[in-house]
Amino acid sequence: MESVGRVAAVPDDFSPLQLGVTGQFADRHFNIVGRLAKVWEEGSWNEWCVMFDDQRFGWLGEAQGDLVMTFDTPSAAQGGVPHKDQAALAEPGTNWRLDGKPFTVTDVKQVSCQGAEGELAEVFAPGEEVLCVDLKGSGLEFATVEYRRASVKAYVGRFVEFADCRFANLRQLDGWGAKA
Amino acid sequence: MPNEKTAATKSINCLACGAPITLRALGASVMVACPSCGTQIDVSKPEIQVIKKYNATAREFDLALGSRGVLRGKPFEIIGAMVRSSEDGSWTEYLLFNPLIGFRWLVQDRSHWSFAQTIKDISAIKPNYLGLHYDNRDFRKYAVGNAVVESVIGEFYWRVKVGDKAETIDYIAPPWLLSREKTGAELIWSLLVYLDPAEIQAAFKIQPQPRDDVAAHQPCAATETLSSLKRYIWAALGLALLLQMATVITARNQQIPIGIYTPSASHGQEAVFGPVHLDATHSLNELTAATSLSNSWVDLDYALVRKGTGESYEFSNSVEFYSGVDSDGAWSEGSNLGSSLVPAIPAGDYDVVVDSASGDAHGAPSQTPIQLSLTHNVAPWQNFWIACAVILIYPVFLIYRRFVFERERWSDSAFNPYHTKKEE
Repeated sequence: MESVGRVAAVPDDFSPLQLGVTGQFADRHFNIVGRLAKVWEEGSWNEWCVMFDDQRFGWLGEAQGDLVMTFDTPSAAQGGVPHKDQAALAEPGTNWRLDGKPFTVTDVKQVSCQGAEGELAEVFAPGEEVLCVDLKGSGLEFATVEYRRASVKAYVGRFVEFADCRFANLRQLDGWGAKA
Repeated sequence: MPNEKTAATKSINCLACGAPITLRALGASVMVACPSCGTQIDVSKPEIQVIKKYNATAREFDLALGSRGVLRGKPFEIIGAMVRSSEDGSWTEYLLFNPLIGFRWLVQDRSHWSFAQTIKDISAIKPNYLGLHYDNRDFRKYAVGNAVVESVIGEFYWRVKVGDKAETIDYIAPPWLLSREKTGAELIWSLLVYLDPAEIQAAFKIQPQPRDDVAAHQPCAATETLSSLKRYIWAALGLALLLQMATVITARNQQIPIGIYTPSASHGQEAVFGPVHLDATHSLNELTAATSLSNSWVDLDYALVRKGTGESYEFSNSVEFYSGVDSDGAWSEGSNLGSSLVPAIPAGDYDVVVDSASGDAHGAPSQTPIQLSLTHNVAPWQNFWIACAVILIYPVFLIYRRFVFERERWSDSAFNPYHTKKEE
């Protein structure tokens, strides 16, 4: 784990999430400890680094109104995901298998980090461009495969509803009460 | 860990026309189309930049950006709006945002409004015999079309642009509508629910236009009334049947022969039979006249006259039977059996007074003897049928209303199950 303080400026946004927010996932309690502000050609989103009470990390992706909780899953990354050159050309709708389960490619894009804060399970090197493949599985399953310079990482998890996370200590939003 | 200061909306000026623009979903939205000139601006990065410049004239929308309303119990703010069109006309889609919920849609198709949400778990949508099954409902295919974006203002979570095309398929299970939109390789499913005009009026304080047609997924009032009345209708029919069964079971059906009667040529020659003893109180009785006459008629008048009090209960029936042979072969009409139901007879001893008129083909009186008998205390069915009819009047009316409504709903559909396509 690395403490980054604040790297570059995390951009202004209107998110109710912030460092120090607590929440629940699958009946397990977590804390938001860090944030990566990611950006691609046509947009940006937050990856909140969360720490569960058993010291395990997870990533709570907050993108375009959706929340996704994923976990670094080495077995999925080693389980025969396509080579980076192939992945870069993957069309949406292509079927992949991660950890023996079927997934469908929804999005392929070059991603970099525009800012970070707090404590992070891992960091992007400044200016590093990462090939990022988003996939949907059955039900609410979701995965992202990241092709770094020297490694491949797979983050596997699922969509979550804001209300189901039972967040506490949310950021005040001008014009909006604390409850949806 | 220290909390950050309160998050506020952000104001920018359009990079093309300079008009002020409020960003209400910063971080969640990626672009804004200037409400004044339509220029698309990338707002996903700290340095805003023009995606594409437009010089459109501002288009009026019924609901303004920044308007807030409570829909289905949750507050939402309108942050974007676009007009789309297809072969069947144009409609408006408002993008709604609540930072503690996410995005939703408000769709206005002429005078009809819907509240919509994209479906994340599309594996829950399964094909079935009708069309699709989703969330415990069966959806029927209603329309196939091509939607094109005509104009767009405000914030969106993807780069919407005028001219964007999608292939659409709509499936309905009123008040629900499942919308499938395909753009290139991307497939988006949304679930719409029809909003009553009163709901949209309460939410956004506007007066919706009066409805002059039926929307694809507009709920049918008659169907809703029927389903809410269904249990009472069945209960009433069940109760009527139960009462009738009790009546049938307790009826005695006691056979009482009265005697053999020979008709007279004209009224005025009464024959008296009996007395017969009727012991059930306030009973329904059936008097039957059975004979074997041929090509003649007998009109019979009866009176049950109570011994002691002289109360008289009068009724009549007739028998007539004709037969013969003509160019079509043998024929016959009429019946050798006549019967009358005699209601509300008190218990007691009765004389049966019979009078008659009769005739045959030659005008002579019928001489054929008639066997008269009485079945005491039979079960009445008439009241039961009347009760059933009364219970069913309103449901039948509602079923008719539903038929008319559904026929109109489907009249615009290429998948109309009523086959009443308008003549071209």
